[in-house]
Amino acid sequence: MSPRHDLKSAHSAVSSNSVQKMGLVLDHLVAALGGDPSAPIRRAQILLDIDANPGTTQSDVMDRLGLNKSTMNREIEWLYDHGCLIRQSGQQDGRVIHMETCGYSKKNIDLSLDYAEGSHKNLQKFLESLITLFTNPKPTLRDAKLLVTAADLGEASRQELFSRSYQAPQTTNVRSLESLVEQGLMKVEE
Amino acid sequence: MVQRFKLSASTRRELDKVALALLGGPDLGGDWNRTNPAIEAAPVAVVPVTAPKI
Repeated sequence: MSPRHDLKSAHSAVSSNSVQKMGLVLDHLVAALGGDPSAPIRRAQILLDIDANPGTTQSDVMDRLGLNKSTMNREIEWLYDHGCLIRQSGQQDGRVIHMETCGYSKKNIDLSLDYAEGSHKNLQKFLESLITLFTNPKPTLRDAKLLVTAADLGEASRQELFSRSYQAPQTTNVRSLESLVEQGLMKVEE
Repeated sequence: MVQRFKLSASTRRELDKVALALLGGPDLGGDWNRTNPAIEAAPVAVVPVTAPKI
């Protein structure tokens, strides 16, 4: 086993708290998505599905995740433009485009899999059940990180939450926090 | 007065369930951990019960 892998495993073992593990998984997924915490969790699901099925096609991903075509087109374009995946025309049918993850996206998905027993299915289920917590139809990785941070801290001020979450303009974080309160996921203690 | 924020009790419960999915919690349909001790534990010996002699 390489020293790098040893280090990763040691890190996973030390962060034994399940809440902290969720936070670390979210960090790796943000890194896999070009460092953009405003990415919808759904985008991470698409990237993960492509990673689990190298050479897959857009229609296969749509079927597996139950997404509509316009959402799918938009997300695939985003992922391609940000260097998260490569696309290749099929050898037998040039109209069929095959996709696979690459570069920093692949590397960071591999790191996040360390916390899910190396199982894409576990990680996919994690994201799916995370999405169902929200009443907002398009929760972001930032929203999820704020929830996980609040779970880790117990009770915290706005600044404590923001300093442990993702860097962003104050208004962005405030909007996200207010949305969590509106959805009934968090409470304000005066 | 500084406002303080916390998760609602139901969110906390649901988030704990979400965390289980990373380990493939059975109720969430993931790959349930094959090293789950409940599965690997040796079966408990069955002690025959006989009616007491009167």
